[in-house]
Amino acid sequence: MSPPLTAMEDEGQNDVSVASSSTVDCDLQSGLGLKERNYLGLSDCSSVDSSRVSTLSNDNKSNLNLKATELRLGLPGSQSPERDPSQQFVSSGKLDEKLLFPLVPLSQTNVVSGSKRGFSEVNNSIPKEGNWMFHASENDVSGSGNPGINIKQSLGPACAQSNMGNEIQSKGSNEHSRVINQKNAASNAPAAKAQVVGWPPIRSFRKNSLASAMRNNDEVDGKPGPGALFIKVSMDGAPYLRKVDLRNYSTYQELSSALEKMFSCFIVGQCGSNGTLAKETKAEGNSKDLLHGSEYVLTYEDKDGDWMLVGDVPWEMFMNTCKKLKIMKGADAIGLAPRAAEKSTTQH
Amino acid sequence: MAEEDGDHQPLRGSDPPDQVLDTVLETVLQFLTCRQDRNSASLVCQSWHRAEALTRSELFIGNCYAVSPARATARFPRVESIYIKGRPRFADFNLMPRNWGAHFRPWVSAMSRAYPWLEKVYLKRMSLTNDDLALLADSFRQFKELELVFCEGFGTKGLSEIASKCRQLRVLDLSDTEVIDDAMDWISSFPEGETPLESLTFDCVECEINFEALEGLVARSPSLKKLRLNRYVSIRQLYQLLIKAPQLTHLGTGSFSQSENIQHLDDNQDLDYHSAFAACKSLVCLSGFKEVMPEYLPSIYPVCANLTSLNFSYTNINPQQFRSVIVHCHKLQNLWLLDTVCDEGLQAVAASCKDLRELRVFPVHPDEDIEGPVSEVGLQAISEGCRKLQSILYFCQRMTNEAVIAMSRNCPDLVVFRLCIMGRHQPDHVTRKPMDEGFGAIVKNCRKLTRLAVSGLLTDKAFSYIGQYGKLVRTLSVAFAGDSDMGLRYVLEGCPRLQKLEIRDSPFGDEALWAGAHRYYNMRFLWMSSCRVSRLGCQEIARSMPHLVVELLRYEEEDAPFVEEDNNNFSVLYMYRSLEQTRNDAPESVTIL
Repeated sequence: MSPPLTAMEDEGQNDVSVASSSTVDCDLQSGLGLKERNYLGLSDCSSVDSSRVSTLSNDNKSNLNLKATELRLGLPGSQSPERDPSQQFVSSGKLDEKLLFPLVPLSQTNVVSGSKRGFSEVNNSIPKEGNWMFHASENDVSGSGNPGINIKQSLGPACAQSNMGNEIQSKGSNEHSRVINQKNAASNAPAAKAQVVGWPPIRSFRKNSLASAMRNNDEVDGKPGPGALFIKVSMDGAPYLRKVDLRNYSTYQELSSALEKMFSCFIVGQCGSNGTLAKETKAEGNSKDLLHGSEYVLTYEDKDGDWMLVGDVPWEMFMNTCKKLKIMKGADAIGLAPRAAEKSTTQH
Repeated sequence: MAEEDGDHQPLRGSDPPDQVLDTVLETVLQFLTCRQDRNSASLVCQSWHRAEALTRSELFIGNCYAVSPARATARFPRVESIYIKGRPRFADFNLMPRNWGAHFRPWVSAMSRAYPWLEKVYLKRMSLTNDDLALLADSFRQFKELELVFCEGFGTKGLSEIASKCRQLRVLDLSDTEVIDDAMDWISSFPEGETPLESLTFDCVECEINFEALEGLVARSPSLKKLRLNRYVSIRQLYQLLIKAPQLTHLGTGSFSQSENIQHLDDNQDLDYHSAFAACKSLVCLSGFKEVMPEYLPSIYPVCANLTSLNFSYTNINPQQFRSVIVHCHKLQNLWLLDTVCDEGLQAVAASCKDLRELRVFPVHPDEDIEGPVSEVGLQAISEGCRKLQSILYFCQRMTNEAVIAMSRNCPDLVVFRLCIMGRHQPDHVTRKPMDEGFGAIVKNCRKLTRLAVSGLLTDKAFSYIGQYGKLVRTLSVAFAGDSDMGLRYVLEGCPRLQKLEIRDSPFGDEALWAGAHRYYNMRFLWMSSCRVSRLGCQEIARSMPHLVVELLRYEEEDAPFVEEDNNNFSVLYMYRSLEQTRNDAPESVTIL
């Protein structure tokens, strides 16, 4: 077998796809509009939803639209009975969920249409199964998910809500497609980067633990690695602290969204007795982003014990100097920096 | 004999014969421990039913919704330990809404009144809160053992309640359980003085602990045999614990690496880990190694020869590092691994571990496309080297029928065969044929098989094999397999012992569902997600089988407007037999027909 990971031949055997996928993912993340979703639909891709639903060109009703948005649909051939087999692919400018959940068997249509490179084109040019370059170039990266290991997941119980078993798939084998096409019901979607919830069946806890273990071993070959960087996050009014691993994130935006998810039930003030988010909290969503435009301000305590506003220094520097995080109400953060003051005044 | 039972009069000649019989019966039935035997005994006649109910001290509830706490406590008044299972297994893979149910609250409330002498609680896939744990701690004076597996919903505050109030606590085991960080130092909550603690497992708890308190706790728990640390315990700290507790039989090593947070003056001076392990002469089970620094692995060599169980499933080491450990482990019976050890590592296992009974190989990259470090080569090697294998869980990216057939022939004692070829619909990568023959051989040749998980490209033929030969199969997991309804029909009509059937993304529809109607009262549950069953079909089943609870779980989008019940808008069909009316704690996304 030839090494599939041509991008990383010089890296250790154990590193397989993690190191490269994180760099690749970062590049692709902005390019692709796809968001990961879990069973509860915890993702913030409402724009994707609406566009997908509206572009459904079909004589069937809205329930099919919803069907089309159901995560369960992974492959043609594993469709639910309600699906109209004649439903065509919607070609769209972005890799929307249609491509992920094609509604027709592979043999009938060219699954990938639109501006994305057709699967068959790639297929033909890359006969080897599992070729990494192919995989990488068609890689979908969603907001909080990565192929294989959920590297960017923050550890801690809160993140389990947004964890998923989503795997990004691309099948590269021509032969495989041929065999598959012979079996109508068993045809899969080599083209579609199907994100399938809960497949392969690895529990989130294990994935997260492996993520931290991988990180540890990746960073320095054989030498003791820095490991995870856990920072306590407190919030005014929240009954308890949370912890985040700063190494899970590479940008402020990621940190902010993760924190927002973690603390959103406190922000809106409604939380089920067992800690689950009530539906209403999601619907209101009045704290989209902790960094911008909300009544809460994210601050951190640095090495010198000073409380600073998050976002001013480069991320790397922030990671090295941050000791604690605190989500303050805008009004309380007035003394921190002029920008903070402006923000809080505009809120009120 | 009769005098021992305080509720009955001493044996006298004038006792009516049925009372004598009851007394004798109860005394005898006390010795019956196997619950299947007890179930049979209870069916003999009224008095046997009564006697059995009065003497059952261990209660097993396979599905928390199959029977209500009230009914259970009413029938069995003298229970000392209880096992309750909640969610079905596929819930672990995010296929169920998190607030689906399986709450411990109604059970603990009922038991607090009915079983004040309760000693043991074992929960699997249940949701419990800090309040539930507080109630438990307050209600049961003699509480001794708490084991939580795949549970969630509570935090360190709840743990603190248990630690502080259950003075007779012997076992506190948390496995793969989510624990919320309530910023409560629960280790310090254990009472002063000697504790009867025998087992403390918290390797899944993702928050820091007070190490000093832990050290003190270990020092004053002379009966402690099982200690499984979380990854916040560094190897230096492990050392300090080991020298205090060389009597340990089961050890979870925590991170097995240096911590960067704790500044030690003599950080560069390595402690004699080797000797610390060597002193643990009774150690038979080793796990942890969550962030392993491979250079420290040689310190465990002294204990390898005695190990019967080794869990390296969080341990990212390469084949060479692994081999140097495994060559010493001749007595190993249970082995959990990460696939980073590669086929090579598995070959080393086959060479060294002739007594192996259970093997689990987990993927470090659960990716469907990559070449993958383990394959049919590893499986073949294991089958040739470990002839006594009884249970296997094997994740891989490619497999061949040949290797699976070889395993079926070499390991006839297999009871559990779970093969997960991660690529969906992936055929035999050499012959390009479906994996039917491989799995067929397994059910044909492994006469003791009770649990089977299939994967890869499978046609209805595979299912016909399962129906034809899998007569003892109790649990079957199917994903992305089959061609038509016939597949499911083969199984439902052919496997008389089937208890748990979980299927996802397979083309089985209403007709197949109907074919199994005669089975559902004899099964614990049926799970079908992303299959072809329709709401109408489910309604028909629900209507004709009143003691079957048919739940339809809808997929919900976060920001979408709430949708009125759509005719076929559901993702999961989960149905189970139950003696009760529809439960009232289901969330919005669940429709119960």
